[in-house]
Amino acid sequence: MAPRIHQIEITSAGFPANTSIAQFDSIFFVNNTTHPHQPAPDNGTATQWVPGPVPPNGESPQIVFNAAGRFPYNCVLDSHMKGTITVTAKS
Amino acid sequence: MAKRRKTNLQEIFRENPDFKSGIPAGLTRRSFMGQALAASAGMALASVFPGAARAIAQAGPSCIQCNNTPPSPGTNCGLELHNPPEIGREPDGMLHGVLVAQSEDRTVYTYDTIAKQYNCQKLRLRAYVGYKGKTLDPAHRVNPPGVLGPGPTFRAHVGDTMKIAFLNHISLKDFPETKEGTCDIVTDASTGQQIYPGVKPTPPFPDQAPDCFRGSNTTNVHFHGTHVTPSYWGDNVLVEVLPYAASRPEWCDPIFDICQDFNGPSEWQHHDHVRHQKYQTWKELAYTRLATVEKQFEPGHFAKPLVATNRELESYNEWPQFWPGFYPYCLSLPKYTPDGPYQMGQAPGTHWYHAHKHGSTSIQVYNGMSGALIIEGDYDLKLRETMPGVKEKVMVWQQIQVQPNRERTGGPGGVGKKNKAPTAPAAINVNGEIQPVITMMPGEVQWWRIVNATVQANNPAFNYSFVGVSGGVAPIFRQTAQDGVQYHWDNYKPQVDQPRASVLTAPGNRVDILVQAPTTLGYSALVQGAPGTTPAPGNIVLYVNVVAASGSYNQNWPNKKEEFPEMPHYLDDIDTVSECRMLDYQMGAPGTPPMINNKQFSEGTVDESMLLGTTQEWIISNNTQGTEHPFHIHVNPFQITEIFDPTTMTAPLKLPKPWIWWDTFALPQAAPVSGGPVQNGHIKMRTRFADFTGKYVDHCHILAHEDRGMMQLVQVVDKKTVVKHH
Repeated sequence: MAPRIHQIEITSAGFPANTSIAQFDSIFFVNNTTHPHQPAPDNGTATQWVPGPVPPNGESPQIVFNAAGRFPYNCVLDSHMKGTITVTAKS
Repeated sequence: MAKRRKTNLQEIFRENPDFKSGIPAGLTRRSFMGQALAASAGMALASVFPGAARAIAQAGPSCIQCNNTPPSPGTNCGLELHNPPEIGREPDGMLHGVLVAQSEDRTVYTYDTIAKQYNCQKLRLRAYVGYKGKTLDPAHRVNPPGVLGPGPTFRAHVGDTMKIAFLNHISLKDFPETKEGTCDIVTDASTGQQIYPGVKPTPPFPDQAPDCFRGSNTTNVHFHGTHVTPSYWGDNVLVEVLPYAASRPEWCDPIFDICQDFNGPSEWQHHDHVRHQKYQTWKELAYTRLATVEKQFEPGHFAKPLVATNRELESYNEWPQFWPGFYPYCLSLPKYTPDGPYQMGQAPGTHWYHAHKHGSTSIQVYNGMSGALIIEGDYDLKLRETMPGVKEKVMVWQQIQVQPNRERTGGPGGVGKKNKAPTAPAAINVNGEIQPVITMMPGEVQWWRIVNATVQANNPAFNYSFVGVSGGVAPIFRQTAQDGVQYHWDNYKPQVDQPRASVLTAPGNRVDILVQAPTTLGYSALVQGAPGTTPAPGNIVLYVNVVAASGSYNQNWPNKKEEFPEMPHYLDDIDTVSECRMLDYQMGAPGTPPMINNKQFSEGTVDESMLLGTTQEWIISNNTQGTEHPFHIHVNPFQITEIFDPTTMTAPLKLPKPWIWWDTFALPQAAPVSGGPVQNGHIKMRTRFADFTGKYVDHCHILAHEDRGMMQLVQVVDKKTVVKHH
């Protein structure tokens, strides 16, 4: 199956708790809040996924997941906002 | 609601209404002190594999909103406009340059009309980077890393040969890639619902390959406005250059050694065995590299091996389609002489270049993959003779986006924010700057070359006007060229008595205007809209700031025929035509496919075929209400002889001669006429299919429409044949 692109919505409730995608898929964030947010992997750097904050009503670039695994992430600007992306290996 | 653009059409066709500059009430004059833009720090791109270590980027400029008119001190908008960096010609008539498409993080402004504010984001973009010369020598990189802006301006002369080594270094690790023959599939991560291309019944006509957003890392280059061969290494938009970070400009050198004045490999095969053998050797090496490039992709990404596809095309005398991360663009710009081999010449003027791979044109141009191409000739010499020392401003207007989501085939929301109306088109950046300032002296005349590289800014009006702000007075201006083709004196002359009030520029258009500053000091703004439009953060393209005179500057502009460039003979009016055709650009309700003559673009089908050297008249209509589709055809410009805009006319308007030349024209939208039924807008255009055989395209220059199928394959064939029937 061809890789898919997944839209992850940032709302006033935060990130979705769990997002499951397949290897080689990609995601992008849509910020539907009134504040900027910067999602980043817990085990990575602040700009590893997006080069800067995603402003209100803004969209992030697409982020490709070439490796399978479980990737917890948080908001660099609001550390209480958390989510996890689970990437399943493509057979 | 359809916007009116009567003023534009009247002006263009020399009815010249009174010029009035709108001065908004309630604004107080503020002094402006420009501050240097802290350029986004360059940063090496590290892997974005999740979990991989990566250096933290240095902070870019702070994002202070640009909501003041005129701009306030301390903001990082409202800075002095700078021309894009240039790559020029050598004295021997050659232009050597390297153009790289690559991933780069750049700081971008957009304007959100819902929140009514500017947003500032650091975004990872597919970007153009230019190098002077023939190598990737960092010392010869012309545009600084991390700074938003168009690609380098290439500046050549009519008669020159441009040898541009094009490299695709876009990283597959940075952007998703679509399997060949499929569309990007976008789903809502929370619900699993597919939102692009969608599944019936929503939308009723989901996009299908090849007419959809797909393959966003594969690219090529269109040299928009050039009159060159569409085949081989010319303005060939049918090739696909795959991403390959290891590709080098030196790989183009064997072709650059033999391409000048070339007849192409098909003729070398019969008449020039040395060149033919060099080409064959070079091509086989390219195919070896192509097999390596193919391994970067997921197994099964391509339907069949790329080399096999290329060889199959060659077996049918077609040009190879796939190239491994490099392509040697070699464009010889024909110089017309009365006794020479060309029926038409390359028009000197303001042209441009941009990505043009079907399915990724929109997103790549939204990422900023465009730049100016200035081809000089007698036009430039005459204007500089009339206006010694004139300052030339080269402007590339771009809209920057990271998702191809201006086309929401899934209905409200589409590929973007759920349950919300689509966001407004991105703000217009000029050379990467937001609301820049052009400082002028009282009475100064400058020469502005404007390239509208936006994807769909200001649709459907495409109307831009100067208005004074805070007590400032609007400049006046005269247009000297349209789409890189100069005006005839008879079309320029009315402006001597009555300067223009607004200028029409749709995506793909270029306009050359001579702008005369008022003698009153202060600010004015160029805004999206008709004369009198109140400047507001969302509609301001740029400011003019007239300051106290100092030093010497140009105050001349052409006032007499002998001061204006003479129209070359190859641009005489096309008085007779040998053939007529009708094209209907069609797009119904949101969600329906964009089409031409009831058909979307399809691989392997020629839609319009004609003999070389024929002159033709095409009636091109638009059945869409609320949208003007900018019609564009490659290789040859055309003259508009008649226009019917149902929003402002009750009958078609036959235009007076001499007819203006264009290569892109926004087809008037459909509308009810005098309270009656809806009628299609239309134009009549005349063109010569001169000098060059081959396959190329006509299409809508709202590039999302092009990606989604509003494009035709055109083929020009030679009358000559080797076949003899004795």
